[in-house]
Amino acid sequence: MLAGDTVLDLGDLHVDFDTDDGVVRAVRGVSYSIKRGQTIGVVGESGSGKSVTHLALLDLLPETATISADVMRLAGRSMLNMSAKERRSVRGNEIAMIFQDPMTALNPFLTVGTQIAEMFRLHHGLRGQRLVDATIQALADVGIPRPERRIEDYPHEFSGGMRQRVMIAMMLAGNPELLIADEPTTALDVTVQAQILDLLAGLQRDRGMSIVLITHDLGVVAGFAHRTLVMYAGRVVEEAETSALFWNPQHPYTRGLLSSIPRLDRGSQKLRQIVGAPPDLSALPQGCPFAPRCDFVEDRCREQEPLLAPRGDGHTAACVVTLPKWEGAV
Amino acid sequence: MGRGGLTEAPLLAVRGLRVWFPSRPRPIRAVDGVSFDLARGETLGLVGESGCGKSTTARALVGLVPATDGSALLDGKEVLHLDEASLRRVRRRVQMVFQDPYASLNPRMTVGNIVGEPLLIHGLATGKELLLRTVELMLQVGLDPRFLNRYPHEFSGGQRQRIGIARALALGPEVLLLDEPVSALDVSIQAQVLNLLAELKAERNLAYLFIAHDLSVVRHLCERVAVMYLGRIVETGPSEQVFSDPRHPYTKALLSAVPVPDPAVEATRERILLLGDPPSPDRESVGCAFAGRCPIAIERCRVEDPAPEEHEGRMVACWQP
Repeated sequence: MLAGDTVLDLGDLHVDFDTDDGVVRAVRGVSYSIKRGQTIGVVGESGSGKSVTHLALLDLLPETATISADVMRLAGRSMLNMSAKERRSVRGNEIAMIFQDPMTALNPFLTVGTQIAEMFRLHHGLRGQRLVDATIQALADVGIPRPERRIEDYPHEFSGGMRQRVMIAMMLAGNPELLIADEPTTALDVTVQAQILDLLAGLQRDRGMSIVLITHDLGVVAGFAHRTLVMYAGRVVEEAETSALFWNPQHPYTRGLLSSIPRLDRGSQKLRQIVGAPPDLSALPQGCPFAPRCDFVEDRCREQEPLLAPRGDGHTAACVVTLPKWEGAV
Repeated sequence: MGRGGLTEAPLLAVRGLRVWFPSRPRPIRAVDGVSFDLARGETLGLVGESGCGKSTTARALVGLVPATDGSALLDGKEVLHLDEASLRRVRRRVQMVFQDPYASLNPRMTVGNIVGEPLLIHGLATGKELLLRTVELMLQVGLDPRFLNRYPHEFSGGQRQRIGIARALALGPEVLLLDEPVSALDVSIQAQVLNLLAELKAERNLAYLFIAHDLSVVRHLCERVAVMYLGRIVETGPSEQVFSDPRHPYTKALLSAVPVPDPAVEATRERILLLGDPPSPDRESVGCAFAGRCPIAIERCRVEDPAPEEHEGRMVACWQP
């Protein structure tokens, strides 16, 4: 594989937070990579480390965070030994991130036109009429009607879905190789969610951009991501092609998740539930962190934490138990 | 409204409910003529997108917002437009569970006091009796009664929602209005609470008005479903029918937008992408509220508002169902 084919390469990323209650080990050795033009879904519950992993990539964590990694390569360049300034420039050009709530990322006192124009000035040095044209075109590209008028409007004059489009337009101004979308549709209604996912898929296709989609919604990744990572307690516990992950899940947590969500295309059935709650990341149990909630737990699970191991066809799972054949989420 | 076949009078019969909020230049018509029946022991899902009026409907039924117009009969007795004393009597029979288990519990009260407070306020138990009934309620919702003296912040989101449910059950209500009770919870916890709600309903023959934007959850839990759009119900019927063969174009679009956690299904299903956002609820009521976004709207839809009519066992408000 050519080095240029891999947009992001992460190896053994750790993030610790210093808190009054001790050290919270939010990310505990995450490794994965994304190829150009690929869409990766990252699923997990609150506190699984899915957001922190990616905030660490963008240096967006507070000072209480300690970040370490063996590998952190973006578009072929290692970011580990760069100065803060170099890192900022690489990030600014190669990687962009959108969030669940676009309102917190937009300046309420500036028109959206001003905010998008700023990105074109920074990244491309545009001025005058060319800057105005680029700004209007950017809004048109993300499906905002009457863009020549909407550039005059302030963020609060846009609906939630339209604000997310504005954020996407801002992020695209830098022509990033990689877009990290952290729960981009969680605050939106389903019909608007469908519009935004459709827009992202189109951008990914047309620009060959890579996308990391962070979500708690397995339905969203099923229709959107080429590959899917499942995170639990700061680690990746399973990674596979999305279809393989859904058809043949190899980690008890993934199986539990798939069995515990009601499906629109199925009638009423009793939901299998995962007992208990995720562990406290400042006081992790010995062994597998999922063991206390696992239906298949064995003695050895409580002794040593299993590592991700290959299951064929690029499918990996961090579980040492021989699981019964998966009969589907019934 | 068509519940065909059933002879028993509904436990709760809502007719023409309107909740308008004063605003300039025009009032906000949050709920604009909602009618439905809820039978004893039945679960009715009330679905729709943000701002469609589903939460306001529930809030009006327990007097948390004043109803502008309409009636709601509980066993034949009016529950809207009541004074505080009469409202209190209604609340013994109709209780509400809120979405946010963080915001709806007083952080300075112990769990025991939160769960037992309704009994105290209504003068139904004191002293040892109160303690005993509180412990009983906690056990029923799967909370360890040893945690009686702990505070809400010491509990996880799922446990806090159990506390909210225990409090709602304290007065032995017949109807629970559940406003997005699982949408703030993680998936693995959501299933625990949904299963608890199903068990409680079976044990106590409770009627639920289950408000949710997550249609998969509604299909799972509810026998009947009512779909709201901009303050109106556009389609009502048995869940099985509405979900497998929706008749209103909004219901069709809404269902097609819900992601299904199965790549094979996702790859083949057709998505109806609606244009734009729902219109503002302060609009003048001319024509069908959905006409502006409807893929099949005809001229008539823009000038004449369709009333709900019966179509194959469900009610649909559309000129071309």
